[in-house]
Amino acid sequence: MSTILEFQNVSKHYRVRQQDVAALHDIDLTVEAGEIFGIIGQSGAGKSTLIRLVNLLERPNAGRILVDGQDVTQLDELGLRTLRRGVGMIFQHFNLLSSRTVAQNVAFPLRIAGLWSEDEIRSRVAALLDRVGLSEHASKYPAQLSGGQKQRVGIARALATQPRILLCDEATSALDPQTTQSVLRLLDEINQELNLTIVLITHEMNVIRTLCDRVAVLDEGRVVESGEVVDVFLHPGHPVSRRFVFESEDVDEELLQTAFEHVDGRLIRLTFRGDTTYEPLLGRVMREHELDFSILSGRIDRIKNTPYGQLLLGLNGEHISEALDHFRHAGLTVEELR
Amino acid sequence: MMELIAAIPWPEIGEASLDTLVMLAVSMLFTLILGLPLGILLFLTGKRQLMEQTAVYNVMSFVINILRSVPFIILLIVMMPVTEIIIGTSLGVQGSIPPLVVGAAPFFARLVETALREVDRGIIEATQAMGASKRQIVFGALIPEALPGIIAAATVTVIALVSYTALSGVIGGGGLGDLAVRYGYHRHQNDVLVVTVVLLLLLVQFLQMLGDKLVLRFSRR
Ligand SMILES: Nc1ncnc2c1ncn2[C@@H]1O[C@H](COP(=O)(O)OP(=O)(O)O)[C@@H](O)[C@H]1O
Ligand SMILES: [Mg+2]
Repeated sequence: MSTILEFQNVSKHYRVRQQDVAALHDIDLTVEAGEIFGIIGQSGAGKSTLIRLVNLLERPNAGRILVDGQDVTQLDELGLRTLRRGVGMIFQHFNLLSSRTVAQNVAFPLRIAGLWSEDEIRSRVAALLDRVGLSEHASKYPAQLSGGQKQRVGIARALATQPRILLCDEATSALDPQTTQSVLRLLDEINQELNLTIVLITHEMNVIRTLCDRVAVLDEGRVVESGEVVDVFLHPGHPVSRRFVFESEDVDEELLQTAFEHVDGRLIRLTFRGDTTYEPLLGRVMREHELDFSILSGRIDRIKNTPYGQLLLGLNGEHISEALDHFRHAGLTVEELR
Repeated sequence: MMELIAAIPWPEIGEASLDTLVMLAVSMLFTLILGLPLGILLFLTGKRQLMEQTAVYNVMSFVINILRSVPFIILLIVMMPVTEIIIGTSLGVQGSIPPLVVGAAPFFARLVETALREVDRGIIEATQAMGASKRQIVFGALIPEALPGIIAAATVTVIALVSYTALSGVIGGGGLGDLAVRYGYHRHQNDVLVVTVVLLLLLVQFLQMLGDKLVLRFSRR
């Protein structure tokens, strides 16, 4: 894979009433071509600022931002407009032009670029609307559409100039859960069909889990953790990441510490991922090493396309450490909590 | 009753009405031509806008405030020498145009600025993110999005101009206001006064309805 977007030592502050308010500190991030990269953080963490630096809706105060190896902060007016044509963007509140029909909204970036004939614009708009499933709404105005439909128009519009990167600023935060899922599915399909790189920001772990390959956790303007979504989700290292994961899983972290005080024996957390998730490993190991076990809590689900399972076990028996080695050998992650 | 109606100088009323309409149309035209760009510039140079220029904004804003705070009757008098230079006379329909425009254009510009500020920042940003130039943002997004607001502003302005034209009659501008002063005030012919007031009222009603219709026609929210 090749790098398509890179933040190097990027800092940004806003000037509010003669005072500098820091928004981002020393951000280093790399996004590979074709991946879906998520940035999660609480409100005010600096997510919007970060994503808006990519197409220079905000300018950084320090550092470099490379798109396809080119430092965007060095671009002149014309270069910047060319860059922006190659970077699509969708927004939480859609930001469609209310005075234009759906078709005219999608055609707008093409008209702005001025590189296509009327015929080309018409056929391209038709194809885009067809792709997002809105052909029959082409001549409606945005006010006549539902939130999910508006975001689909936003996606079609963002794709019109065939960008290589799509930026999504809380694109599903104004949508209900079902609509969110369908918009996320659309983004996933587009990512695969067009090999489009997607950078999205969100405050919802579920969006990250459903869609992203890698994730960075942003807190108070700093990247506090980043990596494969599977890794961060199953073994969140930073307190902020942990809170996001547990919130999305409805797990109360404190309860986990105290609820099992009365449980006998060792407390072990096993993490399966990929195909081992579906193997009858647990029973086999328990039998072989003559252990008693109780399942205290567990979750089995998928992260994007990777199945995973995580079990909290109470174990009793003579040969616990041999059993744990057995698990490790089979590729599981073993955490000894007590 | 028939005598009363017969006593009203209808031909003069017809002529005065026409004068008023001409004054209104010409002054509104120039108000639009001057006020619209001024309003757009005012908006663009404002704080945190596309062409932020605090000094330019402050100067324009100050001049507009001065012009708006001068009572129109005073403006009429102060403008007389200027009008004579521009038009050659400060009397009649022609002479009334400059003070009308100077009175209405700053008012309209301010209303245009307000209408443009109502446009969601997100829309400007989305258009920027497409790679639009400033010109494309202004003409492709800002103005179309603010159009209902701008039409409403024009409606308020043209109605203000109706009363300005009536007032300009007082210093010899002609039109219905002039008629009302000559017959109603100097000759105590109240019937003429009533007729002019009714005609002005009908004009205002018509303009308001037209404005509302157009606003509705261009609103897609
Ligand atoms: N235009 C601005 N002017 C001043 N401060 C801003 C501006 N935009 C954002 N901030 C501040 O920068 C910080 C990060 O904001 P933002 O990037 O919007 O966070 P997020 O998108 O994660 O909620 C916040 O403290 C916010 O108040
Ligand atoms: Mg935000």
